[in-house]
Amino acid sequence: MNVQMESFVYDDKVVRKFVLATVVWGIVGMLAGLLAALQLADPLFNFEIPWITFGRLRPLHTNAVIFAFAGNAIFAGVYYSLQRLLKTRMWSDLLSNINFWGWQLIIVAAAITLPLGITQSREYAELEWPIDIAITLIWVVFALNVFMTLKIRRERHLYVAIWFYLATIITIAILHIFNNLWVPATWTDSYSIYAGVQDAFMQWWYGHNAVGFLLTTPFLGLMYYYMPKAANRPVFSYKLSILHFWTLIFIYIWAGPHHLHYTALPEWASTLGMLFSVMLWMPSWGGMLNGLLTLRGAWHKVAEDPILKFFVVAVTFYGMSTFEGPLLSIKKVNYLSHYTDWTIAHVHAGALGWVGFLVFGMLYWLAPRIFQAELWSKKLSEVHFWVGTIGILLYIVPIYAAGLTQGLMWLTFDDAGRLAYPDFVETTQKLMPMYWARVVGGGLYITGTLMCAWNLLMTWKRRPATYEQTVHQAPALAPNVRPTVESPSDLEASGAHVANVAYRLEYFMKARWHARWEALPFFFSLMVALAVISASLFEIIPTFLIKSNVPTISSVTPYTPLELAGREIYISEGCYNCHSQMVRPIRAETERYGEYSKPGEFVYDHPFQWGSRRIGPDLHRVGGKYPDLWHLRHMKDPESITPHSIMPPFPWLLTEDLEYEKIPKFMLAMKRLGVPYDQGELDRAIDYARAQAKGIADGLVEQGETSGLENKKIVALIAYLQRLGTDIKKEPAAGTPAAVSH
Amino acid sequence: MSMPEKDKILDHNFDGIQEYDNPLPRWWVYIFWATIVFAVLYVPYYHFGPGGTVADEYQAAMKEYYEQQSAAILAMGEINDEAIVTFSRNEGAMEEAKAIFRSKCMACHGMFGEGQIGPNLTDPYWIHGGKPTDIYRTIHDGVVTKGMLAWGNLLPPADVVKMAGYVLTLQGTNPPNGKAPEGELYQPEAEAEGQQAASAGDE
Ligand code: HEC
Repeated sequence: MNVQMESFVYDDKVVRKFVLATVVWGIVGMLAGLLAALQLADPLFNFEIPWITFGRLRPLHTNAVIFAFAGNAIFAGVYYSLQRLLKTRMWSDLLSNINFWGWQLIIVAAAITLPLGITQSREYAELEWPIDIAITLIWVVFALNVFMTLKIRRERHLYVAIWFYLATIITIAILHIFNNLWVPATWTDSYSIYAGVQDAFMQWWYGHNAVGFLLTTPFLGLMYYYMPKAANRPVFSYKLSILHFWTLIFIYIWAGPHHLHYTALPEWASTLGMLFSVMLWMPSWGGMLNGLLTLRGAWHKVAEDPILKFFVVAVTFYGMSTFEGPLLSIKKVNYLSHYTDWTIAHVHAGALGWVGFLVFGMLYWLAPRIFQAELWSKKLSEVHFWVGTIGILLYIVPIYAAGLTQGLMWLTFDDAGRLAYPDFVETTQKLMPMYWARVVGGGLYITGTLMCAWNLLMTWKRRPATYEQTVHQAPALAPNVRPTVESPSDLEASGAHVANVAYRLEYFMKARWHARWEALPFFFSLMVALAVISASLFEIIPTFLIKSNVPTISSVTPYTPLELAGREIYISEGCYNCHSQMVRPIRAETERYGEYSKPGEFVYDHPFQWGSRRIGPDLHRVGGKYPDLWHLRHMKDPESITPHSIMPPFPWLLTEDLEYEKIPKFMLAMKRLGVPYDQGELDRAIDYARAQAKGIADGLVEQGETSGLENKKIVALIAYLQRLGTDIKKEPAAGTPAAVSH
Repeated sequence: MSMPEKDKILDHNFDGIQEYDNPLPRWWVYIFWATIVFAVLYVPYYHFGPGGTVADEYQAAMKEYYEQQSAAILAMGEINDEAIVTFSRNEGAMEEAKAIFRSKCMACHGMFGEGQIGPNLTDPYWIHGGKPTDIYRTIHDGVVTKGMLAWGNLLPPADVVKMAGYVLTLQGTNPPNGKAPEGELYQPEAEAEGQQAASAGDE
């Protein structure tokens, strides 16, 4: 047979760029994490610098490691492997470059805005609306480049790695768009169109699936390419690939509500989240099995190859995390674990172990190939492996202990039925030795990352004067012919195949249908989108449509203009990173914080502020708990009021001016979302706000504070804190402050 | 792993990567089915059956607690000056009260009751009355306009009495950094002798 061969060259330049970005941002993101860890061990490390105080630093850390480190690693890994798996260069070098530079610009924008306190406050989706739009555009560029490359491919069938890449591209686009529907108030502020219960639901639908489709599926895809490559062994089971791929992406989508157990979310949603999480266990383990069993017959290689060691540990951590996830999603376990460091330990096992180690293994494998020079030091990469592994263990073991310790302390009663540890700070103090151990563990892990950076740099220095451009050859894609003769059927011999049903069953079991789908990338993508969207809608539609999910409470009214401004400060300072606003219906919590939170209390909360971790106490019922003066002194210097507090001081709130002129814009945006402010209130918003501020400031002067505070941010924050959770104690529609009542 | 390894390699190859046609591991399939069965059984049991929802669970815990508390209140008897003074001499009760003070009251009254945002509790001057039952009432009802909370809503009933007793024990302890006296002088002896001494209130 005489086939026409075509020649082509792969684009490794863009891969090199993404590799560089991965390493640089990895170091930045991890250093931010280390500083955050230090701040929790001793609030001194907030240095009273607003830009790096914990509430602003933590989103910077999470965004940097997820979108900058893992994100760039995904691009690097996909751009390298996709070209080879499809036997073609990327469709457009221009799009590849727009993808690269655009993504880096987004990261820089994040690194500037988050420290300035410009944030939406929705976890892992903190970036403000102009950056959201940029992300959408760049993602579309990436998707277009990939789909067009699929179109010009020279390999008929898509390998399993590509299935996972496609699931990532499609699902992240859906998640990003539907979680980031907002109404802008200014260039740097916007409000989620959802409120309270629904906002929480959407945010965790997004948050959970961001973990699924940014930290799981793309990395499974990378595993399916780089692991068999490094081990030089066939993948264990094609059938397992098919089954675990489809079950994983379909089931994953449902699991989000397990982040909201015992909250004001309707219980049916929480139950669905739990059950689908439990069912997700085996689909996840399918990936682990296919990874680990691929090494059958190659275990001797693992002993001498640091790259395989990284992969083995990565996949092992993947297995651990995906067992622990379903465990944590069980309501009774979550009762104890929720809001504690257990969650932090869980994500770091996944992030440092699975994502981090897979990336390192991939980088070491790529380095000699993209730099066309031998790795500078295999020894150093071996040392990196051990330092990193010890670092992970030193991080997660103490933090698991911290989570259990604090969770149990919060729940324990004495014989008289009182809380055994009523003093919140006592429970944080217990954690200090564990927090210091984490600093050491995290420090080791970063040391390993620096070794990797050095090793790659030295390898790069060995590169040839000009990179050799290997020319590859392959025949053009032949037309897609459906094989007329199926491979020999087991049924044929017995004659059973004449029964149509049996034949169809066999067809299904042998996964021949799937082989056809693999040859049709656009149809395949459509099926992925269908799976993901239908699973989402099953939960989203009832959450929004069932009225009884959020019973109205007539005494709940919108925030006053000043309170709204205070809420902006609360969001901007990232208080939600340490404080929840969601008292669960658990006696240990109602005893500590007061009446548990009702869904109807949050109908004006755009966006919701329920939080996910209680580094400090819950604040939903803090309104009226302390005098204004207490808050003032506490915000200025928490330790002077609560000895051993690890809350950072916020002295700048007492000196920075409140931007009164922005308040009407906030209110207008809220009004557009259906919050019942009327035009008169909007027109006089600033006067209302000033009047309320004056009242608070005068009271503070009476108690011996300096005057002039009515122009400062602190009064707005105090107004907001004093309002929190108080509506249900009020008679409906009595003259609320500043007359904003309906 | 003891899996039947047929090791039949499929006849495709992606950039040198091949795949085996191995069957699904049995245990994997079984556990997957088990989780599905669990999910199917869970819903009727917890949402429509005897399992009970989160709200039911909470109600049960609260009921148990209220029963325990009402027993404690009955055991306490009538709340009068005498009962409070008796409490203030009960060392065990005062140890517990001290812990409660440090967690709930210290924020405003200082660690030793020397006063900070709230008034000094160690001097004999009282804004809302210095009789043990007055102190009890101030703690129980609060002085909401000034920031003192109504602890009767926040503490178990027996604890409110204990806290009143604890405040009595702070009298005359003279801690450092005491806040200047506020309110009227109250001397228990003077009261007992006859009404004459309590005259000069506003100093
Ligand atoms: C690093 C985590 C952290 C951040 C960020 C943080 N806090 Fe705290 N907060 C704590 C801790 C720990 C406590 C408990 C100790 C104490 O009272 O200081 C606390 C206590 C409080 C309390 C007292 C709650 C009570 O019931 O006693 C309030 C009010 C409060 N914080 C408000 C805020 C506000 C407002 C912000 C944002 C401007 C904020 N916190 C940011 C950790 C934090």
